[in-house]
Amino acid sequence: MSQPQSTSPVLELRNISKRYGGALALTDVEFDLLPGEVHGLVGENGAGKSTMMKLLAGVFDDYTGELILRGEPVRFASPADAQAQGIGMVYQELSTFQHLTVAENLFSRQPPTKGGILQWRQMNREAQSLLQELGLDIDVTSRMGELSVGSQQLVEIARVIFSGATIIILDEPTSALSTPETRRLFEFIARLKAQGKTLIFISHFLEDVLEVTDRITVLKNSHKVATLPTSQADKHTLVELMIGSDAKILQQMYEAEESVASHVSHETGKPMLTVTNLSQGSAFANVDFTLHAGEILGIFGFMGAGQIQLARCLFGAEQPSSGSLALDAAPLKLANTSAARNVGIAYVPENRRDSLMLTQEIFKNITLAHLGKLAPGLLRQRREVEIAQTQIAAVGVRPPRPMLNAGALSGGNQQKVVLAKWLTQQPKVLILNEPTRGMDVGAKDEVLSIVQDLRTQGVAILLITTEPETIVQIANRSLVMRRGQITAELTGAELTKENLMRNA
Amino acid sequence: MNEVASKSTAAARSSAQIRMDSLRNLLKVSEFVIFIVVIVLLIGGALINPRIMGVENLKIITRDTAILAIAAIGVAFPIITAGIDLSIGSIVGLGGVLSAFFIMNWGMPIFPSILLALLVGVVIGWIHGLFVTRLNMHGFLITLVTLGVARGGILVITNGIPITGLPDEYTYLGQGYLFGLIPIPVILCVVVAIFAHYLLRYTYIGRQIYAVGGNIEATRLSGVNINARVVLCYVISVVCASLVGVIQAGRLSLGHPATGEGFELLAITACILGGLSLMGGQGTVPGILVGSALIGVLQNLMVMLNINPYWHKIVIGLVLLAAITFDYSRRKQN
Repeated sequence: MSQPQSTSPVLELRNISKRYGGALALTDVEFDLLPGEVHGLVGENGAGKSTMMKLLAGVFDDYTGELILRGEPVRFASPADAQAQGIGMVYQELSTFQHLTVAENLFSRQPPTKGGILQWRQMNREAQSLLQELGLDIDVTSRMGELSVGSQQLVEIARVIFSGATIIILDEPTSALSTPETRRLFEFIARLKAQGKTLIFISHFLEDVLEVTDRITVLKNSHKVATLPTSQADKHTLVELMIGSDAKILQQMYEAEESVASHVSHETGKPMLTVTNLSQGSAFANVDFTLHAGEILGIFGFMGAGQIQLARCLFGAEQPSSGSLALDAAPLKLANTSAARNVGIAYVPENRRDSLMLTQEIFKNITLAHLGKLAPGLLRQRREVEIAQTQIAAVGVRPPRPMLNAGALSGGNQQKVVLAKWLTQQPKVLILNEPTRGMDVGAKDEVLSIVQDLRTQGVAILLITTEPETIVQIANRSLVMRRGQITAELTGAELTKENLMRNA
Repeated sequence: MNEVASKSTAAARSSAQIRMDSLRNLLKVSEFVIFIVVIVLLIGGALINPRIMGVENLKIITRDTAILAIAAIGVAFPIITAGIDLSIGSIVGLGGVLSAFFIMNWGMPIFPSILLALLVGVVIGWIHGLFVTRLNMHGFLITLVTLGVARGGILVITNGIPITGLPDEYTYLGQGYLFGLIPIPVILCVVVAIFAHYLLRYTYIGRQIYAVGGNIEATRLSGVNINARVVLCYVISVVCASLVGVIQAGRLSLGHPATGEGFELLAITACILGGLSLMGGQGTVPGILVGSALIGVLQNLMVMLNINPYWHKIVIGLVLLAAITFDYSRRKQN
């Protein structure tokens, strides 16, 4: 892509810092956006991308430093204020009205009326000509919900432009798109650029960023580490910049761990869960792997790579469209979650709201999964509390009080309760979905050491996460998933953070 | 509630304060408050009309309360799963008419005819459960359909004419007394209540039913067969309502096509008064009994105090409004 004329920046960040509680989400960030460019913004989870996006969108105003828009210092009072000054946001989760027509969506803020009567014909005409100007061939009278996600996104971008935005921020725009849809988006972006619009392209998908942007800014741990022309960047340099110098430190840190891991991998037991050619609609396709007893197998991928749906299929919470499963060499068919539980599969959801009854006592949460086995006759609370107490001690829930409501615990301790729930009967297979998301380092280590103990006891563990460190730290080997496909299998010395990110 | 108390930091509290606290905590238990209201209503009513506390009237109150409580306990099951069963008014009519029809038109013996009527209830409840679990339909919709269809079915079966001439053994179910004192419906209600109480409180199935209402996704992802639990709840609801239909037919000595009209309102109101939440996940059988008693006493008082019958439904409706308002405002505070 050609370099834009270097003129004065349309938007500048000077020395911006933003705190959430005690933690810095942005530290002294400098950033400039040239008119008519497509500017990529990359970084790991938690690097500060979304904080920066919210800053530009006027979501908060308690930051230090200066925001300069078209040469004038500004401070947005609200998202509406940012919008009024020409900054448009297109979020990853599209906020469209599914039941209204494309035209109604485009005019949702100020539809044309005459004496209070909606002017349908005028609205449709104007909407159609607007889309034509932008080079989009979409029928404005069709309902939004009938369009593909890709088309809805294009309409949403058009709406943002229509409401006056000249700077458009796209948050993970390609994560839900198929390849042809991504192509269509890129063509659209090129057209917008030709019309003088400026875009910020935030994405995990480095290939996409490399293809569509003019310049790229890399964030790491709340700092800006570099802004470079895309022509001088490749995937390798970007990953290096994103992980940065601590890649080496991490390497050293985990070298000891690694040798342990490879040692354990020699001792892994028989094949426990075999997944053959498993597919589900557009979520994932042709997934093949074997999980052994006494092994931790990682699955790394960015959000939306299909790993959640895969995990749910392995627990009977969703049905695959084709493919087969085998447990302990016997064919396995999972009609529902209780079928999975009955054969010894345990599941820890990615979302703690879906894993606990927060308004109920801890002991009830712990006994719930295997209650039929623990108490086949009449329930006796004392017995239940005893069982819970044993598990609470085993996983180290603090405070160790089974009568407390689960909602009163910290995130890490809630996660220990979720694990405890599955340990009242030894599982054969344990599926962990983002087991350490949002936890502090101490809680993380505690949860991971429980998981490692279970490996020692011979449980086959599938560790699904978007945090590469977690996999490098404890997995024996790892698969990488991208857009519903397994793209790599890494073991031994190849199992590094860099390789995980590169294949995702 | 203990947690709330222990959170209040006051380290040294006088014993008087603690007594106040425990009284306040007791008053937070809505079942207890309702129980007090029932007693106050009875005493207050008796001051105006002493016959209200007479043995004959108390027999009527307990019988009517028992009949309502059986239906309320039934409908409580779907409510605990965060669903609802609106069909029970028509099911009450259907249960009575069907059993009467089997006896009078098919010449079936009494006991099998009642069993067959209850079995029809099992099938209807099972169908409700299938729609709710397989199509993810809200119970409100499919049971609303049955509310209409079952009432129509009653009219088809009876041609709109009551089925009369039921044998004495049958009417005994609704009219009889044990030792000349305890109405038979009260005995039936006690049996149903004990069964429901044990199921909900002391079996893993009951715990899982509460869990479905508390957090359905967490329960599913704990490997609980939530579909089976939900279907069971809808079956229990319709079977209880069918049983009420049989009792009502016995009480009236006939299978009347209009029996049970509006009964769903009474039963659901009794549940809400008894501490159930329409969001599911909570409520107890003793609470439902107390809630039913309040409605039973209210209806009786309105008759005994000669309040114009046209006003009865308004009063019951307003009581429901009060209970729901209380439920929602309490939730908002939390």
